[in-house]
Amino acid sequence: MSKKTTFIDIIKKHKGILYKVITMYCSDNEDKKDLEQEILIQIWKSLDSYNDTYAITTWLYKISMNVAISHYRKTFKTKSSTVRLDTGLLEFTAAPETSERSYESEKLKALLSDLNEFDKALMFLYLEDKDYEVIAHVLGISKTNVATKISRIKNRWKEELSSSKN
Amino acid sequence: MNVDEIKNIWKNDMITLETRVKINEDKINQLEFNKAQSSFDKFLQISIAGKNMALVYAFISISLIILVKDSALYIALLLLGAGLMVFSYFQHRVLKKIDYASLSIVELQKAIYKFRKHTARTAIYDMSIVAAWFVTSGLAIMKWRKDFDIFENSTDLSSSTIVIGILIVTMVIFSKIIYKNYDTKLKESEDNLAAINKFETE
Repeated sequence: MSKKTTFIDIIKKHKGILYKVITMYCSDNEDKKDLEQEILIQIWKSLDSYNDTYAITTWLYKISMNVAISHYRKTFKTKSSTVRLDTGLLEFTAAPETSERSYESEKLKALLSDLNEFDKALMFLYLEDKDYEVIAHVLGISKTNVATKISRIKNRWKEELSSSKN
Repeated sequence: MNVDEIKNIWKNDMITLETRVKINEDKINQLEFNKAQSSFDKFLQISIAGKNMALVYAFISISLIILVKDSALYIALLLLGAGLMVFSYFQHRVLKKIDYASLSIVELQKAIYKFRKHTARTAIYDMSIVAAWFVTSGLAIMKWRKDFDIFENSTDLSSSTIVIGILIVTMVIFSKIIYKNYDTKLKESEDNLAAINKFETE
């Protein structure tokens, strides 16, 4: 199987992960396209060194979130002069209408957007149902630390949700 | 909505979202990813080029020695300029060990901010080194092209000293403004590093 076929297969299978990371760290459409490109280029470049110690999804979370956080913090400001790829490799159909579900989603989105980029990564992985070992590995902190932080943020969210109800 | 429901809300949202995302396979097939450069690749290229330029400047200083080989004082000045540039080359670290796939989020951000801190700190010395290089090379070129020896002509020496003095004062004033900018960057990098360390341990 050629590198390109493997690459396309991975992107096709896990496009959801990439899109979720992109939408979590970017709200501006142009910014999203830039981040999409950066992530795809890094996945392509890292593909040769992939080993199966961790699942492919863990590998993808790590690359996409590392790129997203660096992008979010405007770490390398050379945007206009880089060799760009064609945009819109991931295409997204907009949601049809507003519903009760979208109200709850908006609330969750608001809770996530209040977090700093590290806590956001932590809670994203928690919501993705990753176990603490994987979260600790992707973030580079201890499992105990992961558990403490998640519990702290959940308590904060609990307070915020109950105060917004009142 | 309560906090225990959050995971389910997320899961359902993501299922819907995944059905709405498509990849443009034709476009991906046509692309040449090997030629694509990320922002980091470009940043690394600039960083390496900047570091290597110091060696080019050192080489220029050494080459100029041939033109003023009769004057030990000028040779010493040019060697000083070259030496400073070599020093600058060695004190410049290049951010090369950055691997998005193997480094954890904390490790990667730490590496970036440590590098930024180092860059902001050394930028302050760099400006003085570049200024010293221009003075030493400029004097050697003037001696070669115009046969103007600043150390032999006392009248020229005093007027040149005034000109150089004014230049240095101007440079110091401008440097202070620029230093302030680098100090802000240094402070930012230190604060970011502290925040990452705090996240890692608390």
